[in-house]
Amino acid sequence: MLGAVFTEFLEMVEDKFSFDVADKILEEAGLADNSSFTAVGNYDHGQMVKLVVALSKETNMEIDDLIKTFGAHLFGQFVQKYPMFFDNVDSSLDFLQGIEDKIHTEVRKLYPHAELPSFECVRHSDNVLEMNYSSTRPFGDLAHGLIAGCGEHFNDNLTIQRIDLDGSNHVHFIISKE
Amino acid sequence: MDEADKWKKRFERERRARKEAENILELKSKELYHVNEELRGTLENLEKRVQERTQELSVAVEEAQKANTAKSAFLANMSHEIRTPMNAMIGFTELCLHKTSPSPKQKQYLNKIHHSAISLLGIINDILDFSKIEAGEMKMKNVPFTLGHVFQNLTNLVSDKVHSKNLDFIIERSPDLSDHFIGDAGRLGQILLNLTFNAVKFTHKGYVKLTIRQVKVKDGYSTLEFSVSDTGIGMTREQQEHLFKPFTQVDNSDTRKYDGTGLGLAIAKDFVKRMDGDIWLESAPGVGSTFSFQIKLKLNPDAEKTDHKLPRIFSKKQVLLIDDQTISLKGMANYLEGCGLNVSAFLNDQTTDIDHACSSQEFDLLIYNISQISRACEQQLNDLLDRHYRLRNLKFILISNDEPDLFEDGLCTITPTAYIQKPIDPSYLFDTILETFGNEVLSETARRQDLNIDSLPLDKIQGAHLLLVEDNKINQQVARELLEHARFHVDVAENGQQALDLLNTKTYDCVLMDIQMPVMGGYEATRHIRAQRRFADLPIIAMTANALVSDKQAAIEAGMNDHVAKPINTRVLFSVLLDVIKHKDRPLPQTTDVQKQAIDIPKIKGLNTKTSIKNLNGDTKIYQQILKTFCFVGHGLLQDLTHAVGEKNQEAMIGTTHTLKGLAATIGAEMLEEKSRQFEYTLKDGNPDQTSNLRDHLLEELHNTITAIETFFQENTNTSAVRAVQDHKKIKQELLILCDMLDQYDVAAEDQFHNIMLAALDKKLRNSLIKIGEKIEAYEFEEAHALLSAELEHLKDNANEGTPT
Repeated sequence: MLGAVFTEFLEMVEDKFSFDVADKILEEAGLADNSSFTAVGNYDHGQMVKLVVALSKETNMEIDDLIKTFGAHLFGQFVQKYPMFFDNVDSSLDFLQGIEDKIHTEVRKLYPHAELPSFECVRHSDNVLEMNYSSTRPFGDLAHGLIAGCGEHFNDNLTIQRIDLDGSNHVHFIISKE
Repeated sequence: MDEADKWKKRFERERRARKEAENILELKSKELYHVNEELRGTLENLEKRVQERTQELSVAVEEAQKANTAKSAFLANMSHEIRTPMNAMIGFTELCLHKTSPSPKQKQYLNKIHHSAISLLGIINDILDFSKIEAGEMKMKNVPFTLGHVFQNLTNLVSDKVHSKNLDFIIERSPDLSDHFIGDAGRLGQILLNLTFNAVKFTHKGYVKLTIRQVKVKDGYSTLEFSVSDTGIGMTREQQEHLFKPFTQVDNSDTRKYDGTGLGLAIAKDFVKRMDGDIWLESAPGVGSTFSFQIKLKLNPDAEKTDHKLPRIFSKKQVLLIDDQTISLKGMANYLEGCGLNVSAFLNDQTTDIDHACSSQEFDLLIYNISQISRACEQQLNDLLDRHYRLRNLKFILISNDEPDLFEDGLCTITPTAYIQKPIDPSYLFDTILETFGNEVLSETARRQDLNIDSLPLDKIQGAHLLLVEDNKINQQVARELLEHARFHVDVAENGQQALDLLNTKTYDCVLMDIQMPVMGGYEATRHIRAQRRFADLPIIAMTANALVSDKQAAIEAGMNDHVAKPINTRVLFSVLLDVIKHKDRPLPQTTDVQKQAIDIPKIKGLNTKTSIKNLNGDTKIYQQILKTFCFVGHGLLQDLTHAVGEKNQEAMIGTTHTLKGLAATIGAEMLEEKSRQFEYTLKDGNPDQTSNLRDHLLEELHNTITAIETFFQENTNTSAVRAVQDHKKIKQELLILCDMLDQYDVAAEDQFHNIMLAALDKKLRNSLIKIGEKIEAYEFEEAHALLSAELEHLKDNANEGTPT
């Protein structure tokens, strides 16, 4: 899993909660002493799962909600970091439909070995997009959060219908714009 | 600022630094990615271009190869197309020159046509050779040959040119040089001819000299160096540089005073290279040029060692050699000494020295070598002979550039024992010397030997059929006379191949085999003979010049029964023959030539054949042909006459009878001639009472004559199967000769063909031959050759089927 996800997650914890919470969940996840993360590294996704579980325990918040929140936060960070992806794109659905072709292609240029999830898209109409998330990792919720973050960024009111097909490894989204 | 704030600030600074580093890293990664992409693109592009170019190139190569193959095929085809009419031109010009009587002016024109056609043919052959070299199709042969033959050919080909330019052509070889090699004699001859022709072309005064020397001998190979030097115009350095390149000539700028393709030297260079050698030249303008080349040739292991060595009896012979040129005097003196003679050599103007030599010593042979026989030189020679009377009894070999006709026409007062027209081929000189003393040698040995063969019981083997296989004419003559004198039947084969052919047609009691011969040597021939079971017991005796034990061993290993040394000792030879030939009574050979001829004269009832043949200059063949024609015509005349009688057509009767009278006289039908004369006379004289009686007699006589002739031909063709088989074989042999002639574009093929037609009786064969004849008449020799080869193949098949097993 890309290091950026880890660094952004920890920064979010530090911002939204506190440095102490961040220390605690690292402790809890057993990553306090020997681990450090950088955006350009590549880390085991199991560690992310451990961090999320620890945060949920610490904050008494649902894991799903946490991940979704993180997704929305992550999207905001992407907008800041990679503004060129958003040039000439007006709508959230258009952006989402182009992830596979545009974003992932660019990511692969930087990280040729990154194991990226696939987003198979079917555009039902101008305002309806079907997205099929598929990954070796159970982060359907993260995808969910990212989609929501995308809607927020474009100021689109999105309705996200979600059907989990195989835990959170394969998720079927129907996204409608009002 | 409290501690916590300080730490937080420091932490923020570190975090920013990390993020900055991460950004830079991403930026660099991206740049790297793009550079990589660009490189990959360039690489792909390059690969694509290389692929395209390769494709283009392979197409171009293919096209070029196709074009080259087409060119080669075209050239080969063209050369065939050109050579056929060229040969027709040459052949017919020759026929015009020799078989018709052209006026001097016409003769001059014909000679020019002939000459031009031959040089054009030479050019075409050059181009063909060169295109073969270019196409990589030139292959060298590896067959036994003798240098003597190569030089003889060369001498024959250059002598005309040399004579017409009044040059001297000298061949210098050391006598200890082996004559027998294995290689491509034709190509070697071509190189020599090319260099010699060039030398003659560019020389206007002086001489052209060919020198041969052996550079080294190693592992059965000999390296020979040939040099052709001339006293011609020579060449500058610049001219020499481009000499061996194709299509260049020294005088490209000139008005092409010297003809030629400019390919000759390029071809020569290639040939030399293919013989593991090198060619080079030394030349100076106004002085002359020397082209030299070295080649490696395999020594012929089957050949006897010493060649140009005269028998020991010559070692006491003293030779007086007089020459008008220093250059040839030296070379010839060296050669003759090498042959085993004692030579005193002088220039013809060294009169005092010659006189001194003649008065102080005895000579056995005078060799007089001059450019031209002139009154002055005749005078000089006569004076010399007058001063030294003893010289008149010498053997005398005269050498000059003049035609031999000089002596026949009585234009020359000198009478030499032998005359050689220049250029001199050393082997020919060698043979001539042998021949000059030949009788002496022969009679001496014969006399000596007659004495001691009387004690041998020769009658037990006399009349035996011997096959003498020997290529040297003198040896042939010696052996043949010895053997025929002792009453043996002797047939002569020139080489092993001929011997094999003869063995297939006749039965022999013994074979006398020379070892080294052209085409097929003795050892090889013996192996071929022994390979056939029916010849397992056929005695074969080797004849070699060396009486070494190893020779005898080699002969026996090759499957021969015994070995006799040359020169032949009669007693030894006959003792060996007594050993190997089965003893029994045999009919002895008839010795006179008259009797032999008598056998050939056909006996036909009612015909005086003898007189007719005599009238035809003794040509039995033509007579037989006339008889055949007479049968055809006779049937027609018989019909015509009967018809004329029926119609009472007096004029037709007289005409027919007159014709018949003439024909009857030609074939020697004396009675028929007489009856025709009487009938014709009666018809003209108009005594009708006698006509019917005479007419019936005449018709009857004509009928009888025709029947007699037809019976004769039938008997002679069908009486015995053996005879038919022999005829068949003989015709096949003649056809093989014809095939060879066609291959060589020999104009005489036409005559040969007609002779075969006279002898061929088989209807099917005649039919095929007629087609071949048409091609020969049209001068399409190559087509005729192809047809004939097919026919011969056919004959062979038939012969195989017919052979009883």
